[in-house]
Amino acid sequence: MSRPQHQLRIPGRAVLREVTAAYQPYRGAIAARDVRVAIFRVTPAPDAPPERRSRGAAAAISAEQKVRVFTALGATVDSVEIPETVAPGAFVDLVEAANDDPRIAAIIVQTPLPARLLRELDRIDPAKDIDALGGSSPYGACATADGISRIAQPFLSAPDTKVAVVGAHGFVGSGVVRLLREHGHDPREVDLGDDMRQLRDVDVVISATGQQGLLTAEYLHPAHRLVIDSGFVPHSAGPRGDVHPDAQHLPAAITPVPGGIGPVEMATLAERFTIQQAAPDLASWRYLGPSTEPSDPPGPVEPTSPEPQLTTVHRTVADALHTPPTTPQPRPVEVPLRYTAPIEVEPPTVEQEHHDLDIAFDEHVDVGQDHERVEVEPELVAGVDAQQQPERAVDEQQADRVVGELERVEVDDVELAQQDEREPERAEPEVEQLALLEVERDVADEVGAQPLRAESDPAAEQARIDAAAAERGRQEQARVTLTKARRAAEAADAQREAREAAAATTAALERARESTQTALAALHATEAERAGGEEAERREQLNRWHEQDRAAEMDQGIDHDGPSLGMG
Amino acid sequence: MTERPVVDPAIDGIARSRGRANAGLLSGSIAVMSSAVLRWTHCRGGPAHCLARARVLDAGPDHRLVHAIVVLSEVRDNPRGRWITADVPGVVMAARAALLPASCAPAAVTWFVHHGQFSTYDPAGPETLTRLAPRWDGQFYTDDVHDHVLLDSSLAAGLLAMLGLPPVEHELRGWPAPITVELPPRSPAE
Repeated sequence: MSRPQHQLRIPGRAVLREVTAAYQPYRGAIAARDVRVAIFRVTPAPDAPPERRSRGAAAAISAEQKVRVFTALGATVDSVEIPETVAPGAFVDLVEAANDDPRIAAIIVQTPLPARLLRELDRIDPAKDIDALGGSSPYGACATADGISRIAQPFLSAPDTKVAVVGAHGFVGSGVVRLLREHGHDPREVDLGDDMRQLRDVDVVISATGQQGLLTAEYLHPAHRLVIDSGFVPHSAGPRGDVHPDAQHLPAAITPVPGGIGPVEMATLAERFTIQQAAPDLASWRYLGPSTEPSDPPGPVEPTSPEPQLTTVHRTVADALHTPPTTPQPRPVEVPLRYTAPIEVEPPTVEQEHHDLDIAFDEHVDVGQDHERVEVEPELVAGVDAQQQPERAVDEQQADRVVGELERVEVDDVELAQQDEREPERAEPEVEQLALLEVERDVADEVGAQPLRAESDPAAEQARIDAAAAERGRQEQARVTLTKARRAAEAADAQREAREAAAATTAALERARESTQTALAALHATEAERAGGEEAERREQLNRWHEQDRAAEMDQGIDHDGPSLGMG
Repeated sequence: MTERPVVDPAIDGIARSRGRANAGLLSGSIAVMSSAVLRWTHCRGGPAHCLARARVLDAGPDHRLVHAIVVLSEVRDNPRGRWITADVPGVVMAARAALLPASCAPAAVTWFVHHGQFSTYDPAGPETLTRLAPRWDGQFYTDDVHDHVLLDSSLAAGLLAMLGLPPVEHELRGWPAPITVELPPRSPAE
């Protein structure tokens, strides 16, 4: 079933890529701590039913993704496979050893876990339980539920939006319900035994059942604003989610499988780990959803597009860097002109859009290039009050410089996102725009600069122009560098997808071979059993006949063993 | 770390005898079959419930050696966190009070916790029986997870069949309301 042009596919991979890039400034601080992350994964027995083996394969893929994410953040990952026949005490010993190991900063137990071991999750040290597996974790829900909630929020902003959570009583689903309620929504809970047709009456469907193909076209339709599919089951034809392949084209927006909620979960884990290790006051990343500008409808993102639109995700990163609003303090920054934009705009061409997108993406890496400065005082990113936390206090002037730099990048992101809508290319600042900045004092404050004046002297104007030119050069250099980085990341994605597809094919072939062998064995066994049964039955029948004949002969006085008493 | 499930010789003998020429022996040995949806106050606070099924076996010619097997099934609508294995002393006390005759000595009861797809709304893995080993000090029960033993899958299946335990979902349909057991004060150590 082909996907319609109007459908929005939530770019989970881009979210993860950008969030990971945004947290690169903290990598050095995390690596310097030499911290480890323990990932435990219970593996099904080789003779387990295919469904359990598929879930095991999905868990292996998820664990592998976690290893990559935490490694990218500067941590060392201990990935431990545990057989599903593990004794309860042995499993507890593993968890408690990880609790006691000061080098291990986070403990993750890959789900699904055998039901008999669920209780042991409560033994995870709450301070290390970044996936909210135990009952005492400081987080309100697991990372998957948290990510789902963030993706859903922009689609729930309209009044009277109805949302349903399928699998609402499960581990992930119950977390989603809890978070949605915290945000003031009243989700409809759907689980075992409930009438699935009620999904047709809601605007947003969130499915967290892990039952592949559960949501068919009977339950979905084009009026669904968003369908979130958190399922992931390896399949010979590619991973499958909760949404049936024949119904994937129906909703207006959907999280694809793969590449949807899985990476979003990773982005949430990355955030929690970064906050735990290096930036305790860092604000959460937030997905802002598709553009609501009438002139910029949620455009199609074709998988074949060489340059996918990242505007929405770019905003996510901007928000990831965005700290809670604080009192604006104008700072003397010398190059405020880079935040200006011409008023007269022309519709951007496709190439120009891509150009801007490249710049936008590069800005995140640019943050990473300020690596040293940021990693030394990561708290400053989050606006830690030095007076309240004297141990983190630094020289005020240096703090202003760092915060100013970061805010500059932050505003760059916002502005670049706006430029995607209104500016085909960068241009020299114009008087009209300067006047606008002068009138809108808040804008100037947000930029972190003194208000600009239209009547500036020629020397200062020339200095600004030179600075702007230098800044453009710097951005262009950053754009080139980070375009390479982004393309490398995309190439890595493509390679990974190819590997996953090859692995899925191999697994399918293996399963087919095993199924064939099993069927042959069963056939042989059935045949042997049938032959044996027939032989036994034949012998039994012969015996019965023999006994009947013998009885009849006895009745008639015939005795083969000796002379009949009745005779003679 | 990989541990082969330990087999209890007594249970193994009972389970493996099934299917041989001892059907009469088995049917005669189960003297009492009782079950209940058991509700007790969990040590973590709040009510918890499970399906508890007891089989009292008459062993010995004089019918004085009473042994009981109790299977406690974790059910999915029990609140998350109030697991059976998180409060073994509590559920054992409740089950003894509700299902077992007073003549059944604490040491004469074998306890199992039963998990399967009926235990959770999420994928649950294989159906398992884990033998518990609560210790009775004359006044209170105590429990150590290191004493819990996972039964081999074939042994577990044999034992469930031998005890005549229908599927949990079928059994639950016959219970409109749980049996609530008020527990005596807990051990100070808990």
